[in-house]
Amino acid sequence: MNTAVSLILQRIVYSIGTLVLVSVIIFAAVEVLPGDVTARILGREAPIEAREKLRVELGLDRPAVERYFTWARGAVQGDFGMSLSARKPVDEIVFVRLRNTLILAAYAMLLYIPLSIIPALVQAFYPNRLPDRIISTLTILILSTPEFLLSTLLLFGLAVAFPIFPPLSQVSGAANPLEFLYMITLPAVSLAILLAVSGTRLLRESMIDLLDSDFIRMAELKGMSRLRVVLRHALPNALIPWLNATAINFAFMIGGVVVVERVFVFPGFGSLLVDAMQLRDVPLIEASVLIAAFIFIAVNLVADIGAVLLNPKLRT
Amino acid sequence: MAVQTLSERRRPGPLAVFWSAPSSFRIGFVLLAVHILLAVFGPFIAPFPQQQMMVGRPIQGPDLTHWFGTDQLGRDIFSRTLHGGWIVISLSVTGTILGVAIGATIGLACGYTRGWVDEVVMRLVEAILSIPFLILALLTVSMAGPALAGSPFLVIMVVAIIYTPRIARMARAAALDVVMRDYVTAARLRGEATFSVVRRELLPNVMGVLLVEFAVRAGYAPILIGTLGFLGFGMQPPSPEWGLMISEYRNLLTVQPWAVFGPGLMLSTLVIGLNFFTEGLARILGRSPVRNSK
Amino acid sequence: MQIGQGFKALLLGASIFGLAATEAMAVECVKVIGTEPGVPNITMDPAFVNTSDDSYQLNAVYNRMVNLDSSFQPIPELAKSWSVSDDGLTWTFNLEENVTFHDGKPMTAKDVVFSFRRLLDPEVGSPAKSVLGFLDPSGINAVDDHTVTFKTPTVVADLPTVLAIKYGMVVPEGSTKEQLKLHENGTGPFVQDVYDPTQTRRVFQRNKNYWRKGLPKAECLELSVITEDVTRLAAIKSGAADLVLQAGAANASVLAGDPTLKLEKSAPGTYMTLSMWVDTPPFNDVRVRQAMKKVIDRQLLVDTLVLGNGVAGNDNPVPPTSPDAYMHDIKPQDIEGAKKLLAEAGYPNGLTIELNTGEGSPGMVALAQAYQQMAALAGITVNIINNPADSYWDTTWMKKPFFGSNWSGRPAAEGLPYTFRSDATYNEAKWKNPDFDKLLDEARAEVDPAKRQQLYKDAQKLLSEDGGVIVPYFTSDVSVMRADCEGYVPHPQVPIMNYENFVCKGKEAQN
Repeated sequence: MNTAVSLILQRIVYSIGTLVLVSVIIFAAVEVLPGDVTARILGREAPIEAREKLRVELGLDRPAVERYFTWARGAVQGDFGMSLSARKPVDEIVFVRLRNTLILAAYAMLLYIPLSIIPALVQAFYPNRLPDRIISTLTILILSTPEFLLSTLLLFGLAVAFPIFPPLSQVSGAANPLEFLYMITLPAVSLAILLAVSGTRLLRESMIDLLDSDFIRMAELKGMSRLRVVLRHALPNALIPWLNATAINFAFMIGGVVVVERVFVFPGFGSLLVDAMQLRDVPLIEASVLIAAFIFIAVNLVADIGAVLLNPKLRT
Repeated sequence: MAVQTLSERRRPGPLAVFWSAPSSFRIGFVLLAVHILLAVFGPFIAPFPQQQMMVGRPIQGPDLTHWFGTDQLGRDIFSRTLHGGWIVISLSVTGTILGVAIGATIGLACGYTRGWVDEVVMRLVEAILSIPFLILALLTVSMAGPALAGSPFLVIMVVAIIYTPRIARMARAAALDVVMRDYVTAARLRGEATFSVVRRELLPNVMGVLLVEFAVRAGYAPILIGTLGFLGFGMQPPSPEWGLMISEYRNLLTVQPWAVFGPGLMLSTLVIGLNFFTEGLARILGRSPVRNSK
Repeated sequence: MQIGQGFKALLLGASIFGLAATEAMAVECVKVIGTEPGVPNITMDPAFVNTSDDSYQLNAVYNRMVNLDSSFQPIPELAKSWSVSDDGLTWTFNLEENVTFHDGKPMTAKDVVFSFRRLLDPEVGSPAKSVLGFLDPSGINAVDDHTVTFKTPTVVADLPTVLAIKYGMVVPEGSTKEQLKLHENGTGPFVQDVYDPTQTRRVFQRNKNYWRKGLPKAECLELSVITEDVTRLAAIKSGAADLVLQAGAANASVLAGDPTLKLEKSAPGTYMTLSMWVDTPPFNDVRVRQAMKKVIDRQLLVDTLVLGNGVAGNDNPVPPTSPDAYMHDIKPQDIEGAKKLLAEAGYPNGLTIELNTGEGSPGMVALAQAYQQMAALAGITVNIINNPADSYWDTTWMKKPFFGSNWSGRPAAEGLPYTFRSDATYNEAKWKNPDFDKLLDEARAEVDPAKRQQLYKDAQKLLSEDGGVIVPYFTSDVSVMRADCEGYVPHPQVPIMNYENFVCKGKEAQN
């Protein structure tokens, strides 16, 4: 167990190193990008003097290295600075967006679990027969649909043709938590479906592999029912790689769902990232990218530790 | 059964090999073959020049002259779709090849040599992996500047940059797996040249993994390119890239749905073909396409 | 690593739903959807209007001193009337009385003086200075509580029109840009209620003390921007939105058949340009420029690119509804004439040029493409360079010899000097014509309206024939509203919006 603890400690130290590296990469990259934050804030018609004035106000006239270290000193103390464009503290902005996104991700996860497990169970129960084939075809069909098309179809289907859910996920107007959830149902369903198909494929694959193994054959020969074999033996073992993939999907949902956010006008974290990037709003970019990176690294760490704990063979 | 045994005695022809492959491979192969043929010959059989405006009334539904109808500018959507095929396929394939080639080289080199180079490179790979891929794409596109804007090379580069760290990590794991085996250790201890160990022991053992990985990535590339187009970081109008066409015509969905369904159908069948092909290929090679991805 | 306070709360799992804003709403708001996004770079400070997103909200909460009607003529707003001295140098504006700011303070002449001096103050650094730079701050003075005078160094016959610019809204004396960035204090029909520059959804309540009695007609106004065309369509079709601003020509035709919706078109005003640097070959030869203009079938562009929602332009920027516009003899497509001119200019076998464009504004690439096809007929090979939309205005616009651009319609008095005078900051074509400048100066100083109009027209004729900017057509702005709504008319000048009369059934003002 001691080795495991030191391994985890080592991973944590590495992760902090990775975060520092990310902050440097992003700062340097934004620094060399063509285009200028003052032009974006003031608009293309702003005269040069106005832009110079703003540049001094924002402290952009100082050298890049100095600006990085000022920022880093603040960040270490928990002060991520002010957004250049919104003129509000970066952590306030990021907090609201991140909270929205985490709720959306949690909601989507809740739908994702049954959406990915149940079809896979059916497939494992009737391998290579009609139900399996139908589900396989469906999963491949959805897998081959770009997410912007799928979410658009859902939008027109469930908000316009059959107006069950609101088309806009403008959660800042939600009066209570329930309304909040109701508003984000369509994006949550879109995300859940998009991720569930890969989960289903993965589960099916591992379960059918396991069902082919001698150990399971023996159990079946001994007279265990198919249902019991699937539920008691195949599923628990297949869940390990699935959990790993699920964790990574969750991390993906933090920074990578810009398309769904745009289609449903959801004020999430992904579009904040892109907007900040397009405005060249460095403090906002740094904070958002670091949070996304932090979540990615943390989730991967948890998934790795989870895999060790779940798999007796890897336990020390 | 008897017939099959008989035929096995002779050297099986390509057709026989094809028929003995898993059905998913066969379906995928046929779909891909049709797509490649359309990609190559489509531009020649297209009834109209793809960029020509006002070849028909703007925004009209399908008829005999315009199979997928026309768009806002009166362009023929069927012709545009036919022109888009080779763009999608060539961008997907080259982008993936580039990503796999660079990623595999980095990963295999790190996995084989290990040591501090491995540490440094893998930290960098880890850092890049943890940056959301859209930000990576946006950074690349903005950094490339106007000279490359909207050019196919840029899109290829973006695909490669997104894929490289993922492939590198996977290739490194595969290499480590091989390197740890006794016979490779033995070969190294015997003092065999690095080059020959890599060629004779490492490559043959990781080739299968890489091949399946390549196919999986290539299968996702058309969607990735389409998503980049949708967000404005990919091909730029007036390119008839399918993802871009779908996103440009989305607002016609209620009045001229074929503007979306036409290129959408092509994109879906291509991805389905690639997926089936990959699945079959993986089964032939005895690997799982599903678990290798991500 | 220590983390910000917000995240601590997050990690504790507290307040997950705590921030879901709750507004006690007796009546539902009219829901207005905009098109051009600005978040998180939006502002409540009229001195820093940038995108349309800023204009969407500023027009709800502020008033201009002078506004423009749909033919770009000045109309009263906070100034109920005005007059000019005999020498044409001193303008006197008489202000409305009984106007109060949202904080309750009465609006007086001092506030107007402050607002305009502020736009000129280098310490404030407003972009407005590029239009109003000719004004002398010390020439703007309050005579009494409700009278303001503007004394100009030279005669500016169209001063009221120029003062109607998008920055020309009245803020209280002493406001700082730090205050106004996040919180408005205007005299307008609506009052800021829910606002955060990082959230696209904003709510404004009716100004119960609005100086125009009986207005606004709606109880409250909810504003947000949707960047996705298809989502805007879904929102208005499903009733989640009541009004879509700047819906765009293509969407207008998509929605035209829907009985639950109404379309409102503005007079044409916005225009795109293709600008050639007249100091760079081959455009330094006027015959080449004229050939480049002759190849265009302008009406065809109107019919396709904007599906009929516009009118043909004549290579000058004054919107056709303005009485000052020179719309005479719109150039017909003349391929033979273009070929002849090219041959005379020394290009008998045609020429090859690069056109820089990008979706800096939607539709610019389509225009470039259409131009390419038309130019090919006369042997002009146009290679389109498609630049990234993201940085188009920083890195491409005005930095290449032949490029695309997009402008909001402006009256002659503002638009001509702003983008075409020899010394204009936005002289896209680098066209320097002393005769043109002289005509503008004379027009600016001419007090007789008829003569002034003629001078403006002469200037535009010169520009149209000799200039380096192609203005192929003017576009109408299209708004879409639900069938049970009424009272919104889009304005040909994009940054002008008026929500005072807009109301939908069941969302009327309560007393």
